[in-house]
Amino acid sequence: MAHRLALVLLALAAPASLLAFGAGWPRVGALAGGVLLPVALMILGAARRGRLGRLWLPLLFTTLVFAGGWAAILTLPHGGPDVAGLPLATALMIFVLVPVPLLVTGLAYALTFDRLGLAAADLERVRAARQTQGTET
Amino acid sequence: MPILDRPWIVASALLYFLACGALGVWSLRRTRSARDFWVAGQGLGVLFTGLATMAAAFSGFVFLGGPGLTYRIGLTSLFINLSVGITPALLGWTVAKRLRLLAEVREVYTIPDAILCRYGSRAASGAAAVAVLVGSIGYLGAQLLALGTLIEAVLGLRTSLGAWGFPAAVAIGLAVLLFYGVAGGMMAGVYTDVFQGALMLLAAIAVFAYAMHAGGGFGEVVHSIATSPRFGRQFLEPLGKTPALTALGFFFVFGLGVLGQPHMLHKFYMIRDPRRLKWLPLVLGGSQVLCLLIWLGLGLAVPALVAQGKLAPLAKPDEATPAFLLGFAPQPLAGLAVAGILSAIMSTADSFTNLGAAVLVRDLPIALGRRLSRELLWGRIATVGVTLAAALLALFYDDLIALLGTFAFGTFGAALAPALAVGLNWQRVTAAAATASIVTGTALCLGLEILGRLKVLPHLTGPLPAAIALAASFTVLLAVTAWSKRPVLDGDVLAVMEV
Repeated sequence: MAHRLALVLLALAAPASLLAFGAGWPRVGALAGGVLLPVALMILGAARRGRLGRLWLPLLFTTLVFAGGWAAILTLPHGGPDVAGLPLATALMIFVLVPVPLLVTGLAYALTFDRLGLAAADLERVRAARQTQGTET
Repeated sequence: MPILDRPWIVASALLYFLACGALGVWSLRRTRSARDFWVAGQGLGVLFTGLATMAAAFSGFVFLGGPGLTYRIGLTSLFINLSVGITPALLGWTVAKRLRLLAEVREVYTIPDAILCRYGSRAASGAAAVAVLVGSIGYLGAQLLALGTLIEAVLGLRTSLGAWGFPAAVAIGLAVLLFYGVAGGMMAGVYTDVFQGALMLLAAIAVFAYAMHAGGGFGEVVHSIATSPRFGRQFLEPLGKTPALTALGFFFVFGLGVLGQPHMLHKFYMIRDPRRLKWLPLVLGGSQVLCLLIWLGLGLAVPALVAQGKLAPLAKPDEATPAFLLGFAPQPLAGLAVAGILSAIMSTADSFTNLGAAVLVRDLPIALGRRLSRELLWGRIATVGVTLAAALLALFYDDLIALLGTFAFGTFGAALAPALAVGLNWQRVTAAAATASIVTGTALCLGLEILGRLKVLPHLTGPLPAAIALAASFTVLLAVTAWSKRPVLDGDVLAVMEV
């Protein structure tokens, strides 16, 4: 399911971003490419046997943070009111859109790695495949 | 004689080269096999792998190009860095684990090797090798541009040589790079990258803190810029001086293009235990964020000092970093910063001289079904050729370091990101699709950049050629896969992809 969702997102976002950057229209295609393509690739890479497990939550959260941040950047006139001397949208870029997704995705990756990333048994299976392949060739 | 006025800078540069040389000799003594030479014997821990990846990724582009680009276009330049929040985990989920596991089952030392394993196609790996060569020359050109800018400023060559100052500085930089690449680069291994990464972090944090202090504190810095007629509040706005499509283009190219950067991906082969990759995104992302403080610090402090009348307006935006270091920083800090900048340039340049040479002596011959004898000799000759081509590019490029860096980064991304990021995670992707995607990405990125520079397509500037090429490369990969038969994968490659 997650794997298919990722492929559908890729199939939609890639041509949309090509149109947006190549022909200048629709601009939202560039946003779709910037936000949806990385998310689709993360889902594609993280899904085990087509499923995301608990990873859907941090990935959804990251998508929403980026979508919200980009909405603020693109819609606030002149970047919005000042926050700490910076326009709100700039402050969001520096203080939210970099550190928050970094911590959320970085921790999600680390905390699920042993179960969803690479378990000891997975590694043994890969090493066994190397030996089998070596024997066959 | 400006150089004699700055003994700390000269001393720190000499110390830096001595330390790198000593580390190079030490690592040479530990190098006993091709596996040791190409992938550090697959013996690194996660901290070393993360620092080495950061050092290879962050170059003169970040330390000199970033503040220069910010001086020209304002904080819109930060769109290049905005994706750092997601790229470490994106790398982890999509490519790091599977590249490392491929190196567990096959002899995989380079990115074209990985393409050959995954797709079993010499056409795909040959196309990837050509893309790596084009991107390597572009990235090396950006490093020479940065090195020339730094040397011209530190040695005061513009004052003494006028218009010949910059070419002379590039020639000196070329000599240093060639010495490092041919004599030292071959023995300078990943351990020098780790040392250089640590130095870069230290320099970035120290320069950021002092830059804010010199500008009167963060509040005063942004206030000076916002109230200045030269810069104004527009400078601080995310889309102040730049169209939204350009900003989105920077985000798109750097957010996705990271998946095709061979100098970063190559480091994933080196980690000792693949299960230690679990901490890589946090180590890599944390070190990248700290290093980017120099971009933000000097990007804000230099225009603030110009606005406050303490610094003359810059003749060239890329002079932002040298102007601050030579004009404001105390000598020990300037010395540390110069060593940090040299680390940033050399660690990246070292990666690319080796990658470029590997293409010519290993990847392309393998793609053509041959193996060269006397690889080391040919490798050294190839290093000289690649570096000279990069020097010519640096001399004739005539634009900002960051824009040449964007082109090179974009070439790698457009050529390799789809074939690796999608292809390593979806068994359905075929060799024909990967080859078509790599060729499309490389040809479009190079072709559109040239057409933009020749003013045939004058609107194609900044990240747009790379953004179009990257989007086209993904689209072609998906379209050709949809029209191809499902490939049959080798058992070991299948095992890697099923994990």
